[in-house]
Amino acid sequence: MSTPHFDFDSPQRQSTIAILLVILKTLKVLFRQIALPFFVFVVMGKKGSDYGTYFVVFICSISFISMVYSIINHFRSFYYIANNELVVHSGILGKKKLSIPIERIQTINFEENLIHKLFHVKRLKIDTAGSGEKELELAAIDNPKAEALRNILLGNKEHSMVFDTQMPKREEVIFSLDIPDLIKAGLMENHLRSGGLILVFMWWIYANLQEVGINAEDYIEEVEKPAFSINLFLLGIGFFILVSLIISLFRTVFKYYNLHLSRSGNGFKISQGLLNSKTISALDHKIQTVSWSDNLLKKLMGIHDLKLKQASSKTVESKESIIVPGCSYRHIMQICQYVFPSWSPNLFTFSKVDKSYLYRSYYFSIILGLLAIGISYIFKNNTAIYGIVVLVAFLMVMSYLGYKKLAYGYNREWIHLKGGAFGDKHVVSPIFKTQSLKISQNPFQRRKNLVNLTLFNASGSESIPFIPRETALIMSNYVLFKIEIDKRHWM
Amino acid sequence: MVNNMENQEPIAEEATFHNDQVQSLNLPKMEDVVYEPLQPSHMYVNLIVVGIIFLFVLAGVTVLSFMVEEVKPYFLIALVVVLALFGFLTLAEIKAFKFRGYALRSHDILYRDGWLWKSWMVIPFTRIQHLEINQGPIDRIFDLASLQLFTAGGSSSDIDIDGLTPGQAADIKSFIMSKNAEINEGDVDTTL
Repeated sequence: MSTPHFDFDSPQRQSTIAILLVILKTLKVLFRQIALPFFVFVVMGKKGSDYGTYFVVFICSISFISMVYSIINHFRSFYYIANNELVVHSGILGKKKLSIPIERIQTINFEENLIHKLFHVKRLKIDTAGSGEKELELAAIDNPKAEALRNILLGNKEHSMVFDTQMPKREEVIFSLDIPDLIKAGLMENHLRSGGLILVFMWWIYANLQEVGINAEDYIEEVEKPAFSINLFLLGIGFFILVSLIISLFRTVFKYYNLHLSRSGNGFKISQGLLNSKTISALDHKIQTVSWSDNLLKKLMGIHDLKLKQASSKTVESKESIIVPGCSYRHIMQICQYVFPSWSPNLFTFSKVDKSYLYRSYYFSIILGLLAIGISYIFKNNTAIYGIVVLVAFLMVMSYLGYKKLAYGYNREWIHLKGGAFGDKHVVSPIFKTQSLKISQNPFQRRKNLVNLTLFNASGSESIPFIPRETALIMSNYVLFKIEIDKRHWM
Repeated sequence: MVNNMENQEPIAEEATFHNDQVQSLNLPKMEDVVYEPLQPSHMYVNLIVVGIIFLFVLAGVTVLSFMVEEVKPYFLIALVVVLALFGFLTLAEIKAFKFRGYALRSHDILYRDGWLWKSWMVIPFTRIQHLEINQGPIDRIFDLASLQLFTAGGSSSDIDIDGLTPGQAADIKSFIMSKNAEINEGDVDTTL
């Protein structure tokens, strides 16, 4: 693909589509804020209190002002490249100049939503690693211009960013999700989490209704209270499960639609998404950890979620990770071969953590349970006690399974942690990419001479709890030795 | 394999390598270092801060007890709790100060802190992103300074050494910078 020439030395403006995006974003925010009061006042025909009306007027005017501000700002802001720095000017009242040295740019990602797709523009996100204050976003840039800008910004890097820029486009798709896979992955999601989202959403509606001066409880009392029956209870649970299932299915399909993980040069590129499509690139040497996990359902189907975590500033950490749902074990091994060529799953002898780790979880569950039972007893709520007993038993079973699976292994090059409760979790990280380490000890561990060891890398940290102090020191000394003699770039 | 760990070829050959427990008997031991204590005035500053907070809480409890009739009977209990907490915090600071300290080796810096909950942190010099010397208004009165070491591992992996003299902080900073310059002179392998 030949890219047309753009002169980035002179100030450039974003595409005018940016204005449209600003307007749409304002409408979206506005809609979120006033949809509920509007629904209540107009649709339900309830006469709004003065407070409610003022609230709506206030929100509308604030949104309008911020929209006008953003539009003026669009005409006042421009970007250019000078002295090996990407410079962005913006601001109306207070002028702002942000300059990023090109060699400090770590990742450049494109994002497109429906509007972007319609008008052939892209949102450009630029991230520098280390301190989190320097991230930059250009809301809309014409496609060829965006490509050209990325090539220039990445092309200047000496050793790292050859990927996808100077290399001829030779992309090999190594993993993709088709619709049946996607549905399978969606159905196997953690439905408890989706269920939790529903609860949060319901709470949000409730809280918002109160905010505009409507007491939801008045309405609840209007509804005739049905007699509590076991059938109704089961029906409720069934409904809850169904809704959770549908939500997680939709979430998965929207997020991972048309997912393609491809390999080109010395990096990976993943693109995904139905309405908002997103492309993330990761170079091998920037990947800090590879982890994969499943849950009970996924385990039965033999699929895992794979995660490639790369170095980036902390504020955008989760967005910069490559997450591939619905991977088979074979795919994981294949991807690991690219990132960590010398790693293999059978290189390790795994050790377990001390049994008192399990006992501690037991004590916590029991103490928590006893407290809850005590409170229920004071409030004379005997049915709650059964629930608490079941919950404590569940927590203890989970702790037991978690303890059974928790294990750590390491050799001269890698550290490999195993965990999970109902599912399994694996984390693999090269030792030399460790940034710093921490040993900690609480008063209960001191008696048994146990400690926790935490290894920090540029994409997060991994902890090994309750191991003998001597073991932790041997590991720490080796990790430090490895970091200090290894001259490879960790990022 | 114990002795020639340093001479091993890098990873390319390691796929066939099948031993895993690393017996690092000959490696430098972090447990052998002697930690250098911090300035005693640092402890006094911390104790003064605890004391001021205690006075505020005490004033709050007293005022509340005499203003609100319902709280009055619990005044004595509240007083005991606040005093016990103050005693505990004072003891914790004194004990922690005895343990608190830093140590420099030729390749890394160590820092330990805590009393009941103890922690030891190590950052290799090559992993330090940048260093910062800070001196607040209270620090200036007591001629103290703090040295912050930032890594790419996020804020929980950074070390913040309070209670140095400004001279010490500057010395440590320049020591680390010169060591890093020394290390960086060697060739850097960019594979993987």
